[in-house]
Amino acid sequence: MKIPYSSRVMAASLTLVASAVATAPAVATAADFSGLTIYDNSGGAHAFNATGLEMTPQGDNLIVRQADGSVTTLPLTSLAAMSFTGANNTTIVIADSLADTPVEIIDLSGRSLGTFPTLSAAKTTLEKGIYIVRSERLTLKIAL
Amino acid sequence: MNRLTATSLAGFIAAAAISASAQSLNVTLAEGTTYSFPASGDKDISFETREENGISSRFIAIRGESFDLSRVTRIHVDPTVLPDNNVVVTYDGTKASVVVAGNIARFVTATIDGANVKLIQSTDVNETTCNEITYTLSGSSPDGSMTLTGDYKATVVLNGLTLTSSTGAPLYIDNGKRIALKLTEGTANSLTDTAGGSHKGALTCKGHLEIKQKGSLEVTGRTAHGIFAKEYIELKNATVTIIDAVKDGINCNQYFSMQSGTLDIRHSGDDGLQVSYKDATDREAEDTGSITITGGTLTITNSGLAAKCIKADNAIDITGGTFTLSTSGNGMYDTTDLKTKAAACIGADGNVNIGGGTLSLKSTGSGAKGVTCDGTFTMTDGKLDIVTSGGMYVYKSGTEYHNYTSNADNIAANNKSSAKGVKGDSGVTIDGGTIRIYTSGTGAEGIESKATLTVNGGDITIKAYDDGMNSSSHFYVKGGTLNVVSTVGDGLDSNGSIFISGGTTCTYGARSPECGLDAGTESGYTVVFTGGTVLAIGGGNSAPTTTASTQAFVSLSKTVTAGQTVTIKDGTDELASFVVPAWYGTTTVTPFTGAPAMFGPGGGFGGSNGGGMIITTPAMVSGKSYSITAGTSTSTATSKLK
Repeated sequence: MKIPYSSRVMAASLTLVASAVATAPAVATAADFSGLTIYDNSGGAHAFNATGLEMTPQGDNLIVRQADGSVTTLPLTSLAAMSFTGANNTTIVIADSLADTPVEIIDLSGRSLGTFPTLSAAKTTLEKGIYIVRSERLTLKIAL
Repeated sequence: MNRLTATSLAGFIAAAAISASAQSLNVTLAEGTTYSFPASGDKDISFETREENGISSRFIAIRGESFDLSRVTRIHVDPTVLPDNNVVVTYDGTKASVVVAGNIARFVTATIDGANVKLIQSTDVNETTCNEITYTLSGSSPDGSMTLTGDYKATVVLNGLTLTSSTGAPLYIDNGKRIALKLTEGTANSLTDTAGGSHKGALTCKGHLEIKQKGSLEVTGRTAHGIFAKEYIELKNATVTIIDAVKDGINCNQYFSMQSGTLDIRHSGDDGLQVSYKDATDREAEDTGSITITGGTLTITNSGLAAKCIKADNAIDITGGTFTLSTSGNGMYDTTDLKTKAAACIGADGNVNIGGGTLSLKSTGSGAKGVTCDGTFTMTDGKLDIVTSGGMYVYKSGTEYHNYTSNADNIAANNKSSAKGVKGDSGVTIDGGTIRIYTSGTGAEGIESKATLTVNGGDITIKAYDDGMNSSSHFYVKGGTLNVVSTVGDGLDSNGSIFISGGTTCTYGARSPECGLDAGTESGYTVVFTGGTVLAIGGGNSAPTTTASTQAFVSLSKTVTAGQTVTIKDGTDELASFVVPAWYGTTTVTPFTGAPAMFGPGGGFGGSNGGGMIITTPAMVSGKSYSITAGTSTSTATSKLK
């Protein structure tokens, strides 16, 4: 069962989340994560290698399997939060540039802030924050 | 360094995913749907306890979405990211998987039963929430389907999909808005439905369908149509093949528009492509009931009784494209409408306008036509080749005749149908382009207008079994080049007057009483020459009889044969020269490549009523003697105005 919250929290450290259709060339930055940490109610932290990490709820436990085959069992009732760690911001070549493409800027509540002739033009107008940039062939989340 | 790779989440389109070591967290529920969230360094994933009906349950909450852990079968980290607003459906034999981007988890509900997937797009989807969602389908299943319900525009991408449904339509889009159906370039896709279902098409869309991108799609409709859209269909770039359809290959309402791409309809029980009005009255602006083709390649083969390759409730407008259309269905008697109906390559209840393109049309059934319309046929440019070989269809005393050769004059119009190259019930106007028509069945005419027939330009070549060009009203030649041969009828036949004021007309009819120029003289009409150049050969040509005709002509009895040059001279000054078509009076020479050898010789071989040949040119003066040579035979004749 899914229960939607009234608001969503965007990933502040993720300067680019969404990408685009197949042939769009662009240069953008995204985060890659090497680890995942699960925090328990007592303030403890359980760090894992994120690559290939599998977690399976079984009864009252969460079974965590790492790619190397190691298995950790954590009681579900003890768990508080989970977060990726070891961000490695890298430049990712996607395909297409927004340099000469009209873009629509949308805020995180889904409200359109207008259409600008280019992304650069939009940046000169926008305040700092996270926005969704939508062009004909590419949709991005950007942080200014 | 991370790179864009061809690997992807669940087979998602190659470059839409970013490959790394840990890019997304994916939650898979017991019912088979996976929700994918981009990885984040924030502590935005939490575990919570919730009480409901006295039962305590643990949930995992990820950026506004919560999942009951008792329903979660797997949480895994994936090196790829599914972009926002995307849903990926992957088929694998008798199973299917669905991955939903985390940002739209609340907006898409998936149900998976084997390889049958139902996706419900929330009514909350709109431009202020998440905006348009893209659904990408790939993989193969011998018993699979996808049903998409929603009420906001959506994009459906076929990315190498082969689906056969044993229960209904393999792709059923229950959404009345704009559906962009993208065929990923380089992919082959195939849809086959079950037989005996209640759905309208193997691909059924309740909204308007925009088919685009350079992939291909093959459709087999075993219940009804191949593709059905309740509203319009637009086709651009894509290659769409209808392998077979019980009813129409493609059936839609409002309009069909094609800019480019390829449409190949190989077999359909009814029409190949049919467009109807959506609403009987009070129509929206886009509810034109028309077909508009500006480019692309269309190949449609049809064998249904009285079926059309292309059929519209209203107009058919063609300004580009390459057409190869053929019908082989016979005529039939419609016991509801109480009239005969016949097959045609192009049939419109409104006008047919050809302003470009290359069209090759062939109809072989009884009464079958190249082009027929209730409105006006107009051609301004392009190239139109038509061959018909069917005989006359007659329904008489409950019996059907598919090659009726007896006198049909006393059979009611609703009980007979002759093959024709072009038939325009409200008129025919030719302003330009190239038309070549060859009809060989009994009663088959080249071009028939049930109203006025006007030639303002163009290059027209016709060899018809019956009349070459027939007008139920006046016939105007104001320009263009006409080379018309009839085997047993008239070259140009009008129930009104024939007005020739320009162009070059060579018309060859049969022996008397048929002729090259046949005005409705029995009703008091005549021929009027005020310009143009004319050679008319036939038994009993109509000649000018009134002072309205101001250009002199000569009328004489003279025989011509195929390939001869006919000249008219004023002394040594040649006024005009004509070459008798090679296909005049022969069964073996045809007007153009692709036209079969025809039934019986054509042409009139001179007249028995003293009017076998008429010539007029702008330079002729009334009362003057001119020499006329056909081959080696030279005659003289004195010109007159009437």
